[in-house]
Amino acid sequence: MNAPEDPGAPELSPKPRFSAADAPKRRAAFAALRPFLDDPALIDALWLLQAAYTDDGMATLIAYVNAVTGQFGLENRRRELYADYYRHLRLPDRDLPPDPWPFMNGACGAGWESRPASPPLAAPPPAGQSDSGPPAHIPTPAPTPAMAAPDLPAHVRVFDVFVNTMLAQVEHRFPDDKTEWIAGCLESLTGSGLSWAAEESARAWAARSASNPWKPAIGQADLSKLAHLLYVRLCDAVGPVGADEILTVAVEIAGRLPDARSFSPRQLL
Amino acid sequence: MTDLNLAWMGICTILVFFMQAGFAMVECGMARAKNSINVIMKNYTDMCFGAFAFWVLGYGLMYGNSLAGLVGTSGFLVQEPDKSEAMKLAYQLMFASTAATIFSGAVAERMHYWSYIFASAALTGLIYPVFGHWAWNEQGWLRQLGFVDFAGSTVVHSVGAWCSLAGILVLGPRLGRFSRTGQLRHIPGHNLPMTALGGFILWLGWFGFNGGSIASLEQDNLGLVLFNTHLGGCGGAVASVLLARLTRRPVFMSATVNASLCGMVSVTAGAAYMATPWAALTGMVGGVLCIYGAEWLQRLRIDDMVDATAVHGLGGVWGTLAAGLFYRGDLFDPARVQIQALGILMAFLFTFPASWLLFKLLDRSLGLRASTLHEQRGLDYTEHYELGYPEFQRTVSHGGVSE
Repeated sequence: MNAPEDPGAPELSPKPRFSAADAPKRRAAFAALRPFLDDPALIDALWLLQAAYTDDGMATLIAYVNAVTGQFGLENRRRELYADYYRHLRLPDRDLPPDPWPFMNGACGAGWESRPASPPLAAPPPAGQSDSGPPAHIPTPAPTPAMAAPDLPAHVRVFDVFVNTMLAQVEHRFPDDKTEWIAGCLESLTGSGLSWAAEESARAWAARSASNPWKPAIGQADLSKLAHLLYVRLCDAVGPVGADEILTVAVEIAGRLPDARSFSPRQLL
Repeated sequence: MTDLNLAWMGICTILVFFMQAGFAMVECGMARAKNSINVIMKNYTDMCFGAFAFWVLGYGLMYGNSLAGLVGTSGFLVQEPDKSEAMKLAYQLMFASTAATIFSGAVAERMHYWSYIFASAALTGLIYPVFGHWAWNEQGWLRQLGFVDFAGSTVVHSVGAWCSLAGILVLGPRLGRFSRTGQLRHIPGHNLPMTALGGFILWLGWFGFNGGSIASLEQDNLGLVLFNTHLGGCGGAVASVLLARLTRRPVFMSATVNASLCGMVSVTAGAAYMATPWAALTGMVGGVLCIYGAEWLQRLRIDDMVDATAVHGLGGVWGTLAAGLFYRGDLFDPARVQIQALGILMAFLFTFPASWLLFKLLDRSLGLRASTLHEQRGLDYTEHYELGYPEFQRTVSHGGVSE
């Protein structure tokens, strides 16, 4: 019997790094989200964009807005944000704010917008310096688009994006089935064998009662159980085909995170 | 048996063996990609385990000296058969394998491999041969009553179908197949052209399945058997397509393949005994029954991945009745139809409870149902550690850490 070639090897993706091509999206997202988020949340939202939602296409746009609104409690602004983000993406350069890259990397304060929008592209990196990270004069970026809790371990951060992508996909593709899915998940939590921390976190996530409900103490095994529980209830709510498709998208999106280098989302499956 | 008859039987044996490939293609194509290897493995190895079961036990139970018309008591583990006996053993082994493989598609995507293999071997070596003895052994009690089943509409196909029904009832539906309110969710197969190829292969094999069941080339009308077989398949397909047109349903390829198979199942019992118009009618009715039967089972929330119960069960029932109704020279004889009905009923009353018990015992011992986690990951990975399409499945396959 031939085993598949190393099925456990994670799909590595580079850390989010500066890309001029993504600047219009960063600028549009900054402009669209600034009225709704304070600076730390805005930075998190922009890193989320950078990590997982820089592809072109309407589906990515929708998924990003879903993820942001879900993450930061802006569900009632979702429609408005779709329209705003889309409108800003279509605006000419002169009507957009500068690239918020420095802001994302810690250049907080009123003056950052007057600085050069992007690091100098023409200058080659110093000898020996990899081009895989942000240029040296910019402070080291947060290691993750970790939303509200940058001290979480990698597997929790990966799970967070994984689960919120599932949610965004359900909201986008099966909006009528979201309630059944969430209710089914809540029902299944009791007696699921999850640790108290994981169960409480899952309840908080389902109730949207915390911007980041996941606790650092939640282990990988618990998160795997939880991912399976979410999948089983998703099969009940939207059918196995839709569930498989959503699972695939969630794994793909979470796999783009820098944290996926140390914890592949496939380990949740 | 003359050399010519031996040669023909040899060809038919090969053709019936090839039906295993047909079943494998039909079932694999209708399964999701993540379960494709599991489906193929079941088809490939049930035949192998079943060969030992039938050789050691089944052949003797089926064709050995009869004990009160109920069961054979000799011919176990045949070691030095003569030419005719060896050919009969080989040919009947292929039939037994066919009966056993019918239920693999019905229970696909959620049954543990080892439980399946055990159940399949028990069907091949025990359940099928006992009913086969009643119907096909010269001293079998059903045969003595005048029950006719030329090539096994009931003996092979219905027995396989009732076993399928018991299996899927004990197993339950696949994850998410029905919503909590009972709404049916379609789970499309991953490769329907493969299913169509399987249909063609089965059709080809059916010429050996029915053609090899003649007593001899000299006595019987081989051409009629082959032509009736073909008419049955065509009738099933034509009727299903026309039905779709008349009732404004979509013309599904998979349903058409199943309807043609059901047409051939239907004509199998009487292929040598019917005039050609009756064979065509039998096939057409079989095709219609297959479509409505599959829908009816779905409404009952019975999850049969390939509609094996409708195709082989309903087709087998109707075909066996039709063999009595349209018996050449004795059309619509109520006495004959009554005996046919008795055979149909006995097939169900014996096979279904026996299979149910078998599956329940397996459930208690080896475990029958794969876990939902295994359903999520796909049985290819969890049962065989092998992926059917690794280029496309890596994203959703298990990462190998958590259990």
